[in-house]
Amino acid sequence: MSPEKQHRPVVILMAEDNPTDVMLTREALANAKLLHTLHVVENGIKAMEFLHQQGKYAGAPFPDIILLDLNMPRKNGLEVLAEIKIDVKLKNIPVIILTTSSSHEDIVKAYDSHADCYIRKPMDFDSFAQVIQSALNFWSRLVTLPMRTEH
Amino acid sequence: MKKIKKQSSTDGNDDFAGTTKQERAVTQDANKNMNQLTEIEAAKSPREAEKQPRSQQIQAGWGAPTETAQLLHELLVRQIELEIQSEEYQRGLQAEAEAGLATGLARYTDLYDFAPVGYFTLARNSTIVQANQTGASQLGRELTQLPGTRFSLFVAEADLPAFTACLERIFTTSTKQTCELTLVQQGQPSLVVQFEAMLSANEQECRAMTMDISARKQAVNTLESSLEQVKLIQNAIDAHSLVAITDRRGKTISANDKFCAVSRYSHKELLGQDHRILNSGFHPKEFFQDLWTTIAQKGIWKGEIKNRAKDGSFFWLDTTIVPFIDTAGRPYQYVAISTEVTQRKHLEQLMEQQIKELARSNAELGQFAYVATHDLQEPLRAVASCVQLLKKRLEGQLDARTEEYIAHAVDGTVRMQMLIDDLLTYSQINADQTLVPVDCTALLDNVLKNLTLAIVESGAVIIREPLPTVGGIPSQLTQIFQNLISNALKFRGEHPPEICIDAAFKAGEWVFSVADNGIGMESQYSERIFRMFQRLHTRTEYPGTGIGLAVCKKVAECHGGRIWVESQPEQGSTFYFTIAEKR
Repeated sequence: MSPEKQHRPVVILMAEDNPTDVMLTREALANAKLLHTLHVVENGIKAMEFLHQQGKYAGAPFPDIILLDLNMPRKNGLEVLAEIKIDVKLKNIPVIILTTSSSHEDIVKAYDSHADCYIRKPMDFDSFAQVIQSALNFWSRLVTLPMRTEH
Repeated sequence: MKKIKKQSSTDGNDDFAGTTKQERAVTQDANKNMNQLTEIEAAKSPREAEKQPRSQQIQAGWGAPTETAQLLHELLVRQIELEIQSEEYQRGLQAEAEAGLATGLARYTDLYDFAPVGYFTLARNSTIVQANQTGASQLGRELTQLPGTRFSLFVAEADLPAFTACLERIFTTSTKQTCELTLVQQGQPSLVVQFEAMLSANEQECRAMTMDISARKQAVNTLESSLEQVKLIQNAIDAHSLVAITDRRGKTISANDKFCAVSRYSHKELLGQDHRILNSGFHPKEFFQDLWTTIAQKGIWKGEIKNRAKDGSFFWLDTTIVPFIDTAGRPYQYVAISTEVTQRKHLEQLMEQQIKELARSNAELGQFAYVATHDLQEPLRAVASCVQLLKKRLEGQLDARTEEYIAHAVDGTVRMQMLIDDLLTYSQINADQTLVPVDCTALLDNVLKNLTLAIVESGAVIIREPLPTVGGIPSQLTQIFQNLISNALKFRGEHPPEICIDAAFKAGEWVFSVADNGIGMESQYSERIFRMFQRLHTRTEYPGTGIGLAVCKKVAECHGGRIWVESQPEQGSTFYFTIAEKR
């Protein structure tokens, strides 16, 4: 873990079309002791534009972590995941699948596409907040990821 | 000698049908002998005729002078000498002729006796006057026994009228007559002969020839019965199948009635026509290319062809095509034997369509269930989470009643989620997964591990009998065991639960059983409990969504099996489900 990283806010990209979930995530992060900036896009197309810094995301920062919903309009989470994981520049970004789906098929497909972890959104808010906090904590603080050149 | 001469001439005039070259040569030979004899006699006669008048002349001159008498005497002596010489010469000639005659006779007798056909001389009442050796052996008698015996005694009873008529015609028409006779020996049919005869010169008897045609007759009979057999088979084929024969170029040479009936073309319309008038256009070019290649390579083609009938309707034939090969190894015609399968084909198409439709609707249903459960959970989470956030934010400001409302709202969302989860589980059970060998003993180990907490808490005793390895879907089998055992734990009576898991092989399938000593149920519910969301108890008595047994039923059915329960109130329940050994 680089000392520089400790002082820099963790950049989180959240791809989520459900405003309630966005609100709940913000709520959960507000209580977390984690310096972060949260960027939200509401579909897969925008997620990819953000990652490639295209269009209105021209100056977007490079995310440290991606929270990816599966069911999104226009381009779903699995498609976004597949595109990230075949892109040399993007594939090392941890992708946390955050979804209501408990479908076995979705779980298998997500891991087949190299999702870093699959988390089912708990029904209960306290559990949800806890899951979000521990996942972000794990991926931003506990694990060591390869150094990458900022763009 | 006279007799032989006559016989010879008769023979020479005879013209037996079927006389072989050899026989004819023999006859000619005999004629030659006879001619020689005639020549000898002819040569002898003029001399005798000459002798007579000369001696008369000599006697007439007895009264002449001495010189003359001397001369006469000399002449007389000479004559006597000549006569003596002539006598001697004549005797020599006759001996020579007699010797030649004997040789000819012997040769003739051999030819007569051992000819390949039987010769008979018969009186009008069929009494045998003379016969040759071959004839005797055809009748199965010694040659010496035959004269005086009636030939009709050797003719099969069925052929007697024909024989009698034939014989009668011989003596009345004086022309050669023929009939076919079956001969009998000791009452048993022995030979079939061709009987040919004609009246002899004295008109008192006839000369007959009998040729053994048994072998030919046998061959003809065999051929006839084979033909009959073939005819019967053809009738059967015609009754069952469509038969069409085309020439090398595909022109129809023949088509049976059934073919005409199905194709709605008349024989006339089909014959000489290219078989392709039936082409429906359904099959691609490659189909027919493959057909001809297969016939050329394997000598047979089998398949189903869609054809177009005369009225434009289509019919399907299950066809076998076989080429007929000539001596040069080239096919000269093709025989197609077909069964009409239009009905079956339609049913198959219908079935295929329905299967597709079913698969589509199943896929749609699966998709629907997935979307429904997913999309149902999101608003549910919104409600649950927001109620909780509300509660947090108003902590300490709420009265007991409001707290209870919130608790109910949260509880409602939790239950709703359980229902949605179970629905999703239920919708995800389907039969389109590959079956793998599942060791049920190992599988049960896992299930019991999953249920450890509940087992320990209830103090249950689990009795395990040996379980087989079956072809199944592991996740589904886990579910069925887990649901049944957790039900047995849940619906326990006053005593600690005792659960026995067993399996028995019966009539080609494994019958698994999970028996408990729990609360049991009235038999009237034994169907209802397997339906979705059917519950016999309130949630406060026994929690649950009422979907567990519906899941079990679906699992059993996906494995080609059934599920049922045997139970009585307070007597415990035994759940059975079956899994076919092989599918």
